[in-house]
Parts: sequence; C-alpha cells; structure tokens
Amino acid sequence: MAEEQQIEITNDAIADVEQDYSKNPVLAPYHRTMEEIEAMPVIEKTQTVCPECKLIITGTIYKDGDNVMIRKYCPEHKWTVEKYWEDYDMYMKMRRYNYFGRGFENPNYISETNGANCPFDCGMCSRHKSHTGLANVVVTNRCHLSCWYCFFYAKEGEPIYEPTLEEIRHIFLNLRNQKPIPANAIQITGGEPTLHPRIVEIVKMAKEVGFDQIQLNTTGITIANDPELAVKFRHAGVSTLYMSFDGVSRRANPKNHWEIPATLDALRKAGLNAVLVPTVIRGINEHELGDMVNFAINNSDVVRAVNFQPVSLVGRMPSRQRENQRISIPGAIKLIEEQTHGVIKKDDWFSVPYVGGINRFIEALTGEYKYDLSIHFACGAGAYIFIDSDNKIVPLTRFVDAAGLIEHLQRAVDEMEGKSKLAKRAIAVKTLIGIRKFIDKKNQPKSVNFAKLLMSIFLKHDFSSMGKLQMKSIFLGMMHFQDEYTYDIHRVEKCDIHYAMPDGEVLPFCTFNVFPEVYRDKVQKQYSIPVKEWESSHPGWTYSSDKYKRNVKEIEATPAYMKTYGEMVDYFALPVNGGKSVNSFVNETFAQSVTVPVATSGGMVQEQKAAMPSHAPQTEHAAPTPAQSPQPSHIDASGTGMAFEGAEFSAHEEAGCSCGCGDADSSLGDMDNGLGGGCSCGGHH
Amino acid sequence: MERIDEIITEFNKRATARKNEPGTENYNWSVEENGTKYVLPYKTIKRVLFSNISQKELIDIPHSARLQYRLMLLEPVIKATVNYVKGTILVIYNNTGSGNQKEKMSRDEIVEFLGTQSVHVDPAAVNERDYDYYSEFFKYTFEPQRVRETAPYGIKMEEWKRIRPEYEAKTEEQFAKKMESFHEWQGEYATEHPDILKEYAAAAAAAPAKKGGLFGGKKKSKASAGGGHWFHGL
Repeated sequence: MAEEQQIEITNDAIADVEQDYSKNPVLAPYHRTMEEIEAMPVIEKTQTVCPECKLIITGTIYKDGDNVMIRKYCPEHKWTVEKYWEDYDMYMKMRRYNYFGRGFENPNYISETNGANCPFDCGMCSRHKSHTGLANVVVTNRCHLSCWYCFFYAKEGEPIYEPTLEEIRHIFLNLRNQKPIPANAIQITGGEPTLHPRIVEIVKMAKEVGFDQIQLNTTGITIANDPELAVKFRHAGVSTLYMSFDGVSRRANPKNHWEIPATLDALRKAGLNAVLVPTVIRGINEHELGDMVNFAINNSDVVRAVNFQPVSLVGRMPSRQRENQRISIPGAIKLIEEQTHGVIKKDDWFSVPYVGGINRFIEALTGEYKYDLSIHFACGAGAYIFIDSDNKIVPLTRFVDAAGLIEHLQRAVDEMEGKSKLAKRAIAVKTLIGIRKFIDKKNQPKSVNFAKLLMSIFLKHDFSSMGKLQMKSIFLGMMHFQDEYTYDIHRVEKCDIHYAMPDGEVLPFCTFNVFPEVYRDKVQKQYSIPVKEWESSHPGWTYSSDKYKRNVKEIEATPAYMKTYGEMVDYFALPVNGGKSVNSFVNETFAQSVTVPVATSGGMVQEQKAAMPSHAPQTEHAAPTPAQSPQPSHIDASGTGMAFEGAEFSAHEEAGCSCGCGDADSSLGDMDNGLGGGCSCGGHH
Repeated sequence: MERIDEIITEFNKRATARKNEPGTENYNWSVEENGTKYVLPYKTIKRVLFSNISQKELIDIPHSARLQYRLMLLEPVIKATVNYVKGTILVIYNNTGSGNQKEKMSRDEIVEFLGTQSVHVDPAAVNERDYDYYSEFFKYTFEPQRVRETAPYGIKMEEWKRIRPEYEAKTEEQFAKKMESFHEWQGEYATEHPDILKEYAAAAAAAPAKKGGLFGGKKKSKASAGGGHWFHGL
C-alpha cells in the first residue's frame, strides 16, 4: 500500500491541501485518502480499464455516503477514483431490474478468445448480452457546426467519410439480418446527416428495408432553413427528429437556440415529432434541466421526449476539470427534482431494463420475440409525465405501482413456461385482471385510462399502443454513456445502442466511442475519401463552406422565435403544480426588435403572454388563466448579469465568428476550449 | 505511456510513408455482389499467426488484451487477437507490396513491435498466408453465421423449434402488410402536401381510390399513421 499511496506533487495536489473538500459534497468523494476509500463498503466488483494504458483491471464499486463510486488500481498508473452514480438508494433500487438478454445468434465477428479480451475483441462477439435496440448509422462525418466538445466531425485536413447509397443499404440490411431479433429502430447520424446530399433517399431506403422507427440525429438547423425538408423526411419515413438541445437560454445552448423555434414550426407543419437531446455538463447547463422539461411541455404538441445525456468525458482530461464537470444519471435526476420543486421526484424514475418485464410477458404470451431492453441498469433511466386537462403534471409512478406490476408480470412469465397455449391464455387472463390493483385510479390523470391502455398493449401484443400513451405524455429519459474513467465492462457487454460500421462490424456505443482509435476512427478512415480526392470530386468545396453562419438579429426578429421564447408558460408555477417557478424560467423580452411587424412586437407579445400559446396542446390542456400565468421575468437566464442583446450577437458575428454559435461571451463557464477562439464553441475564427 | 505512444507513432510514420508506394497509383478495387458494387480498401493482404508465445511474456489475460489493443493502434493492422491461453498472436495486416493506397507494414516490423513489448516470436512457429479481405472478412461480417439458437421467453426450445417456421412466415406476412399500409399512408400524406411532394401526389391521385382502410376496415387516422412509436432512443 505504501507504494500505491505515493502522491505526485502537482498544482492539483497543492490545491487539495489549500482547499477543504470535505465541505463540498460534489468534490469530497474524490479527495479522500486511500485508507478512507478502502474502508468504504463495497457494493460489487467489475472489470474496467486503466484510462491511461487501457490495461483491463478490476473495478471496485463502493458506497461513499450518498454516492456510488468506482476505484481502480493500475500497477503502472496507480489509482483512479471516479463517480459512478450519485445516489446509493437509487442505485440499489435500479439494480433490482438487471437481467441478461439474449445477444446475437449470428454475431458479426468471431473472436477466437470468445470475448476474453473484451472490450478489444469487439465486432460484435458472441459474448455480448443484448441484441441491437437502437442502431446508429453514420452517413457522413461532415458537420455544419464545430462544437468544442464534439469529437465526431471531420476537422480541417481529415478525410471525408460519406458512404454511398449502396453501401448504406448494405449496412441497413446487415442490421435487419440480425438474429433472433432484427434491429428495428435506427438512428441516422453523422456529423450532421442532413449534409448528405441524398439524405431523403437514405431515409426512404431505411423504411423499405423494414425499420419501424427511424430517428434523424440532427441539430435541426437545416430544417429550420428549409422547412419543406421536414415534409420530405416525414413522407420518406422519419419517425422522430433526435435533436440536440442543450438548454433553453442562448448561453446554455449556443448550438441551435436560435433555430429551434423554426425547426419546431416546420415539424408541426409536417406532422413530425422531436426528441430533445441535452448533453448535461455540470457548470455549463445543469441549472436549466427543469426549464428544459418546461420547454418540452410548452411544445408538447411536437416534442415527445427529452433524453438527457450526462456528459461522457471521453479523452484524457485533467482530473480537476473532470471532477467539476462530472454528472451522473441520479445527479441530473436530483437536479430536476430540485429545479421543479418536487413535481418530478427522483422516485418517479425507473431503470430501462424495467421495461423488459413487460416485454417478457408479451413474449411468453404470444410466443413471438419482442424487443428486449436488457441494458445495464446504470446506463439509462426514464420517467413518464402526463399533462392533465387542468395542466397538472402527473408522473406515471404517482398512480402506478411500477415495481409491483413488474413482479406480477414476471410471476406470470415463470408460470407460463412449458404450458400449453390454452393454459398460457388462462394465466394471462388471470394476470391481466390482476393488473388493476397496481393502478391507483384516484390519482390517475383525468385524461388517461391507464388500465385500458395497458390492456390494449397486452391484447394487441405489440407496443404500438404505447404510441398513444406518448400522445398524452412526455417521456423523460436519461442515457449516460461511459468514458475511460467510469468504464464498466459489465455495462458494455449489455449495451443495446449499437453502431453499424462500413466493414460489417457492429459495436456497442461505448466501445465505438470510448476507443475510437481502434474502432470508430480506424475503420472510418479505412473507408474514407482523402481530402484531395474529395475536393476534386466536389469542386468549390472546403471545410468552411460546410459551416453554418447565422444572422442572430434577423432570427430574433422572427415571429416563431418571439413566440417560442417569449410566450412560454411556467407550468411548474401554476397553483395546480405547487405554484413555484421552475429554476431559470424566463421569457425573453424583445424591446430591441423594432424592425418586426407591429403584430409581433414586444407589446403584443406581452399581451399574448396572458393567453395560452397557440402552439400549446389546446385540445387536452386548459389554458392557464391570466392569474395563473407567471409574469415574464426580465432576469438574465444565465444568472451572470450578462445582457443578451441582439446587437451584441450581431457584433460577434461581424467580428468574424464563422462557427454559427452566436455566443458573445468569451469565457463561458470558464471553459477554455484550447483552440484560442473567443467564443465557447471552438469554431474557427 | 509516453514511451508506447512514441513507439506507435514511429511505426505508424513508417506505415504512412508506404501508403502510395510504387505500383499503387491505379488501385481501385471493388467487388460486385448481386449487381451492387462495393469499393473496398484492401484486396489481398496477409494473415500471420505466431504460435508458441511464452505465457510468461504475455503475463496474463489483461496484459494480452492490452497487447491486442496496442497492435490495433498500428494503422496497417486490421484485426489482432492475442490468445493468452493458447499462447498465440494472430494479426491480419496490410502488408508492404499489397498494392493498395493504405498504410502498410512488413511482418518483420510486427515482430519488431512485439519485441518492444517484450514478446519474442519463435521463428519456427510463424505461419503466414495471403488473406482475402473480401471473402474472409467483409463477406462474413455482412453475412454472419448462426452460432446458437435461443427461444422466446416462456417457451421451451423443443416447442420453439416446432413453431419457428410458423413464426417466420407470420413475420414476413406482417412485414408485407406493414409496408402496404405505409405506402397507402404515403399517398395520403403526399396529397396533403402537393406542392412539396408533387411527384408522389400525382401518383397517389392516379391510383384507384380504396374504400376504407387497407383491408376494408376503418381508415387509419392520420395522426397515428407511421408515427407515435414509443421508443425514443433509450
């Protein structure tokens, strides 16, 4: 132990001495002595990697107060201590639903070692425990933005990966050929997939080969500027836009804050829906989580879900920066509880493999394979919230005994095994009748008959009925991808979000992205086109010609922008929801917008604030009365006192920022992007 | 760590310098499968198997896995497998003289690299042969064989083997119905957006009108057709 406890004298070590971390609940678990850490109660052991040399080592998952931590020791690089899960009780609760799925009957890669060298035997091998739940297919590595935290687009000088239509079809067919359960949900991604010149045809092709759920992972910017594209996408078969959305305010979401209103409008007209996807980073946008939920409720006619993704700190990173930015699923969940004043509590969330209980029941009943969400419990969590006719926000768990229901169904699955068809049906009838006792009708939203909905799911034997549930609710999801510090091989071998590569291999998300040097980048490079060749086949093309430039002043004067950000209702501030304003809630003011038509001027917006926003779901939600509607606040959302005036943003644009971020602040969150740029996005200046 | 980074960089520099070695200027390899052309980065490359590797040098499975990772960091290495139990190292790599325009290395360089990792190769236990990238790798990954069979939950394997053909036929039938329904919805949707989807709208208008839905029942509502799936990326 003496050797293991040697401390390198670094600036961080000096700072440790100077600062008393015991008073900081976020940082304290990182700053204990090894004696203290080793005395903590151990929950379980796993296999992990050394973040420095990638040696496979044992990871010990232990309890440190309310936190669940992971510690690992590499003989060469000593100790790594990292936060794994920020709530011990929740960890133990979620852990109950863990189960092993079936993996592949026809794995794409035969590993001679049968996966003993996991995660470096990947391709994917026979050791893997889950089938593909969501398949990601990269159709280009070009992007119109240059976000500082993104590792997934071609930078200056890097080769272009943009497979042909035939190659993409080949990848799609590979996914559909998986056994026993073919991939049925696909996410077309990039780079920015809408930069692929044949993107509509790609979507069409995905539908024709049989994918039911087609998501387009996009910033939405292309659609904002070409709304007709949304109609073409919908017609071709896109089910959902999986759209980046890092916050409501400009400061938290420099990526697409300005374009979101026009994108949502285009989706409305096309009859498409969106999932908002915030990447959650402590110190950057974690104060707006509740506000993002409120934004989704305000746009629930078109927004079906918010899928929060706590940041994955991929790549080598100074420990101080890592400790400050790290946030895990329960960390984000607790912030939502705090920011919504308990309207959405941490107990309202369930782990993703929980849904497996419902699938297993339907499968046992019908004798047909169903989607098996057998991912690791620490990878994802979800909550359904219903917006009732009186605007009351009701999480599903307030009227459904979720744990009891799953145990009830699992008992039926066990009972059905080996029984005749008739006997299975008798068990099913008994089970379905028994479901009612798990539903509390008194607390159920008035607009929902959950027992009937469940019956319809079970009797129809598929999940299309869940679509109807979605129409009356918003799904809140959490998906925490791993990095080298938190890496847990037990998690990766159960992953069901997979990438299909051009060489035919299929990889779990957290192998593909955590070890890009041997998977993602390596294989994409093999199938990429060298820049010179790309330039000669695309005359006039340059890296910067792909980059998007926005006119902030012009966008902020549009009716869509003013309506979206100026007429939001704070649903959490309504008396029916407890009457406390959601954290960071603010409606924009548009005093600067002198050039816009009178009908949409600032004064008119103020008047309209007393009424229900026209795009809010009027059929199911009663309009808040003027008394209920919170008064618009003029407080700066960022809390920094920094004024976000159109003129300042324009000045930023005029100063030569070509990144499209529109950010006027050069020191956002004290994040030095290391690129020498003044703005936060790391774009080229 | 810095040392291994330097070693890898050095080997990759050498490999990159050989990218466009003489004779590669006109490389343009593709295969045709069912009338579709696939451009492949490699044609004939090499597969080398080093046997009789001392387990003492491989240390243990975790160190073997790390050696495998380090071999894969070499750009010309397409796949590597270090089997601690059998004491073998298998490397599929883009060899010098392979004629393509990718990074290349020689077998001697692989041996040299293993030497830097304190792993010594027995010259008498080296088995190298040509490796057809298309037929041995690419074709397999796109058409993998079944290595096991699992039954749905609640069903025993014997029962599953009996009902499986029925299940497969039903799945195909459901797919056909689903597509038919989707195409019908597409026609309706195109007529709602005639300016944007001109060509489809015209085709839908020309198609004979159907009574009710696809199977004569109640017409599917526009709101639920083709959308509303519950699965949102988790």
